[in-house]
Amino acid sequence: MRQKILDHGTGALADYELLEMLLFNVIPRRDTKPLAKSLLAHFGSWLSICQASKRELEDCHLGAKTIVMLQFIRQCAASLAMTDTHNPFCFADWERLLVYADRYTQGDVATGTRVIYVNNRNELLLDHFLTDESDIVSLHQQIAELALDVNATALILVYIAPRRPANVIAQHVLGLKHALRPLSIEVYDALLVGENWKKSLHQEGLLGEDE
Amino acid sequence: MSDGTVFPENLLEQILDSQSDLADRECIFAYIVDLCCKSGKDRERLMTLLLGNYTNLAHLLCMSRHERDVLGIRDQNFFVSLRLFREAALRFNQASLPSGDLIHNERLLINYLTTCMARERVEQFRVLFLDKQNGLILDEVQGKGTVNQTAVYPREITRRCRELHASAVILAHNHPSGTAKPSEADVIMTQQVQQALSLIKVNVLDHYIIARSTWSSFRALGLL
Repeated sequence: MRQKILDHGTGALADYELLEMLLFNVIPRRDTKPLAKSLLAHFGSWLSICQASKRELEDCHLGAKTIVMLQFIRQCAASLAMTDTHNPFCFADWERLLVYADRYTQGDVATGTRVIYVNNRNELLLDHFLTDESDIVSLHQQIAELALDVNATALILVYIAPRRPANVIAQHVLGLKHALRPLSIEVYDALLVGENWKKSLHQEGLLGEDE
Repeated sequence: MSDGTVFPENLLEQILDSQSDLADRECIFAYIVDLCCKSGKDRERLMTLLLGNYTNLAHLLCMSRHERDVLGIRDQNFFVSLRLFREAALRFNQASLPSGDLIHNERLLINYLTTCMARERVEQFRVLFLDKQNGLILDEVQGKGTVNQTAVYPREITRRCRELHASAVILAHNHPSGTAKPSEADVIMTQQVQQALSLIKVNVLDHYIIARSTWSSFRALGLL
């Protein structure tokens, strides 16, 4: 049943199946189908079960844990119905990116590359450290897969304390840009950062020919 | 509590009464973890992960497979239970819609649409088919698209209206990007659907755009 849900989602479950599975969390190691069916028959609808008072549920000889679980559904419903006020970090402009990038050069600066994945409002989705950069093909694959996983529409590369010259890095960035184009994923910029310095390849004109 | 849960009962009552997310996030997360995670030694780790990564209950209930894998949550029952609670909540909010005139109580309608699609990661396009009294016949996802677009087929919507004997529809789609502003493509697509449906005398009552923290109505914006 769990596998069925993972494969096909919860939409196809009958009300009694959904209830049966929820009840299983509070009444383990027992067939909860008869209880699920009798509760639905008693209350008449999904809405009535979820709206039932503590006393009405107690009258059905349900334990405290079961009652709390049933009433918790309403809490979930209220939370989901509410618009979110959570604001993710937004790279609204160049300045914000520079402020954000400060974190890479605080403390010990270790050489490495990070990829900042953003959505089409330039909000931060994922800031990911590239583990293995030796092979270009698998590097592109790694970045493309992650971008799709987090539904990114663009990304920014950050080279921390780079050992290679900027024009060599620029070639790599252009290659990635080209590779990601069929997926409609943009590479906004590549930022080179070190102790007390930051450079944008885009602003240096090194990604220019691609614009 | 008699059946051994560590969750303090009075606190839950407080949460249930408040009907708001002001209720203690830690307390709610602890309840779900305690309820659904069977291995005691995993609970502590799970709690730390959840508190570090999820801002509220709704956010947690919408955990994606990818997030689960990234966080390394292996407890299958926990993940499935999140899905179950989400589905249960969705059915509750759908059942809470008025049985008669759907547009009479816009708040409930927005609540429902927010539940269904505000936190989806790709665009989806829903059509609510309504009868003569503007009561809901069926709510159907017509198409799922990508992060910033969905294909909509006016012919298919019109055909479904015929099948369901609908006399009006409400359209809704989500913007995973977070903005509720209709794009030019949204406006054109709406006009195309409206034109197609006018042939069989079906009204488009409204078109809502649902985003994570906001929503908009074509009718209110004067776009219908």
